[in-house]
Formats: sequence, C-alpha cells, structure tokens
Amino acid sequence: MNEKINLQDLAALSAKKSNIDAQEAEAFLKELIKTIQETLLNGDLVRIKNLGTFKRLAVSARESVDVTTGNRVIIPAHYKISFTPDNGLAHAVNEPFSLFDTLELDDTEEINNEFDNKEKGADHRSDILPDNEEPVVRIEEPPLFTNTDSDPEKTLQQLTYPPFQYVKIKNQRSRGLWGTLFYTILIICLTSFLAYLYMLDKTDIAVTLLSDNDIETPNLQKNTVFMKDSTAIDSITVKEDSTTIIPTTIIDVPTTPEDTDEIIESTKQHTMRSGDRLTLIALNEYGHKVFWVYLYEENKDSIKNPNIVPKGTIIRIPPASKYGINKNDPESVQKAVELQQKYTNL
Amino acid sequence: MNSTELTTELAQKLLLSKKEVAQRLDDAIAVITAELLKNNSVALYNFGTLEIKKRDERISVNPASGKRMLVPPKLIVKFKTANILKEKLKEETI
Repeated sequence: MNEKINLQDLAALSAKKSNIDAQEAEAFLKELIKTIQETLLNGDLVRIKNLGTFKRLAVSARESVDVTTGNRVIIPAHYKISFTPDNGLAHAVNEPFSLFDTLELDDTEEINNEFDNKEKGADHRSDILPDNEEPVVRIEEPPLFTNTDSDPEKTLQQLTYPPFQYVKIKNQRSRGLWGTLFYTILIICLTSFLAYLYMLDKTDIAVTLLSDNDIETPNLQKNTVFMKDSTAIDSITVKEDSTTIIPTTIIDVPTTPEDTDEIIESTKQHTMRSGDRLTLIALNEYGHKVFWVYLYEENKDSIKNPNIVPKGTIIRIPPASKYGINKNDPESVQKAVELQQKYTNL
Repeated sequence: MNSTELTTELAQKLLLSKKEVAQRLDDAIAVITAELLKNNSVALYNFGTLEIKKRDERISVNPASGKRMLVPPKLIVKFKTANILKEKLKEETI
C-alpha cells in the first residue's frame, strides 16, 4: 500500500513471473523504456496492450507569473507526455468506485422522492388499511373463535388475542364519543345561530324562543336515542348534560345584549396618574396604542401637548363607535396612523 | 506504434524471438497492473511514474441539453513524467 515500486523491484517481480534472471528482466525493461522514450521523442505514440497509450502532445506558449519575483514570464511552447490508460486497466483501477453512476442533477431529487414514495408506498398501504378495514376484521374474529373452537383452544386464543378485543371495544367507544362531540358541536352551532337571529329580531324574542325550544328539545332527544343505538352509554349522560345547559344559555343571551352594549358605548372618564400615557390608555381601552389620537382629539380642550399630560387631568374616553375604532380593521388603524402623523408633525 | 511494432523492435534490439519479447512484455505489464491495483506507484527510471489518483466528484453541464450532471468520483491511473524526460522534451523545438 502506497509503496513506490522502482525499476529493480519491478524487474525482480517480472523475472519471477517470466522465470528469467532478474538482471535480464531489468535489461529488458530498460530497453523497453528506452524504445518507448525514443519513439515518443520522435513524435510517435506508443500503444501498449493492456496498459495504455503514451502520446507526445504539444503545449502552446502561455504567460505565467514567476512565484519568487512576481514578474510575468512566458512559458515557451513545449511538448508533454500524456498517458491514457487502457479501458481494462482503467476499469480495474476504478473498481472501488465502480458502483457510482453519473446522475442528472435536476432529476436527482425527484428520483430520490420517487424512490422514497415507492418505499413508503408499501408502508402507507399497511398504515391505511388497518384504519379502514382491520377493525371490521377484529370484530368478526373473536366470535368465530368462541363459537367454533373447543374449550382449551378457546382459552388459548383468548390468551393470545385479548389486545384485539380490547382494541375493538375501545374503537367503538371512541366512535361513540366522536359522535357525541359532533352532535354537541352541531347543537352549539345551531343555538348560536339562533341567538344571532334573536339579536336581529328583538321584538320576536319571546315567541321564537318558546317555539324554538319546543322544536329543539325533541331533536336532542332523537340524538340521544340514536346514541343509545350505537351502544355508548357514557355518552348519553354527557348528552343530557349538554341539553340541559344549552337552553339556559339561549335564554341568557337575548336578555343582556342591549344593556352591555350601552355600557360599552358610554363615555368613560379617566384621571391621569403618574406613568399614565395616552398610548397606554388607548392600548387598554381600544386594543391598539395608535388610537391615542382619538383620546387627544376628544380632550383637546384639556390637553395642550399630547406628549405631556399633567398629573390629575381628567380625560374623557370616547366610545369606540364614535370614531369607528376597530383594532381588527386595517382601515381604521390606517386612519389613526395618518392622524398620528398629522399630530406628531405639528 | 502499437504493441506488435514495439515487440518487433525490441526483438531486434535484444536479439530475442518476438514470442519471447511478447511474453516478457505481458508479464511486465501484468506486474505493473497488479502493483497499481495494490495502490502502489510504479516508477519507471528516467521515464516517469504510474500511480493511482482519486478524481473528486464534480458537476458538469452538458452543453447541448444544458443539464447539470453529477460526475461521480473515480480512481484513475496518472502518469507523471520524469524530470529527465521533461528536459529532453524541452530541448525539442516546436
């Protein structure tokens, strides 16, 4: 490994192989090299079977830089010897790397992905199938065993298959729970929609509330009956709880909205303390500090400079609706920003 | 000059039969190949050195299709010309 074989070593080795004297072999090799060299110097190429081709190539003159002096030098035109290994030798030498192949780069990722997908494909199938089909199979299997097999075998199977049965029951239960969840969400959606309707038509509250409640409860009972069919006993209690809760919320919602709205709408008052700033109040009241401009607009009579508000100043906090303040509306915020620029430039 | 011509010339110079020369040439080349495969470098006195070098992988672009290709690394036989031969080559004028 990584040894340097000189002519003497080579002669000794080839002498052994050819069953000749080492000196004779060396003489032969020297003559061989001399002949090749002479031929090359004469401008002919030398093709040696199983080794390769030696060729004399012309190199044109080129400019270079002298490393030591930094001066530009011109390397004159000259010849060089090129060696091209024979195909057999090249392949034999490249044996350790022969597994590599030239790849098209743009497609490499796709190829890899396809490969991965193909690999995963089998897994996917095995992943997907159990969810859809295996539960059914599992449900069918245990009764078959219990019915047909004799007692000792049956006990064996029960010993070996308990996880299956457990999984089966769990699946059913989880399905029941999912069902109840789905129906409760549906009911909540319905009730909220109805509540929204009540807010729109306040005059008809009492009438619609009563009638809708009458309609709603039978629906729920239907749901619970359906749930009973799907053998989820726990879910029924949950269902009944939800039915009792939801009507109360329906009644509560329509009675309050007007009052609460009025409370929010009314103008508040705030006494400035040390550390208070208009932006902070705006952030607390309207959810965005940029709305301080409206606080300033509202209190222009008492605030001379919005940056310096004296302690103890009582400012009025206008209702959000007065200036169309809505932190979630980009337009409203933009308007405030424009106002802010106006005031800060003053 | 191919192998047969080389054999003929050597046979004339060494006063040996062509068959004998061809046999010795084949043996010598077999030994060189075997040594190269062992990752040894073979120095041919006053001529040059044959050795194994690793060419790194590289990205090349096919000028016709413009596709980028990843050329894998490979081991090659490199011939390093001896200095004496280089001097001789320099003396030759183009």
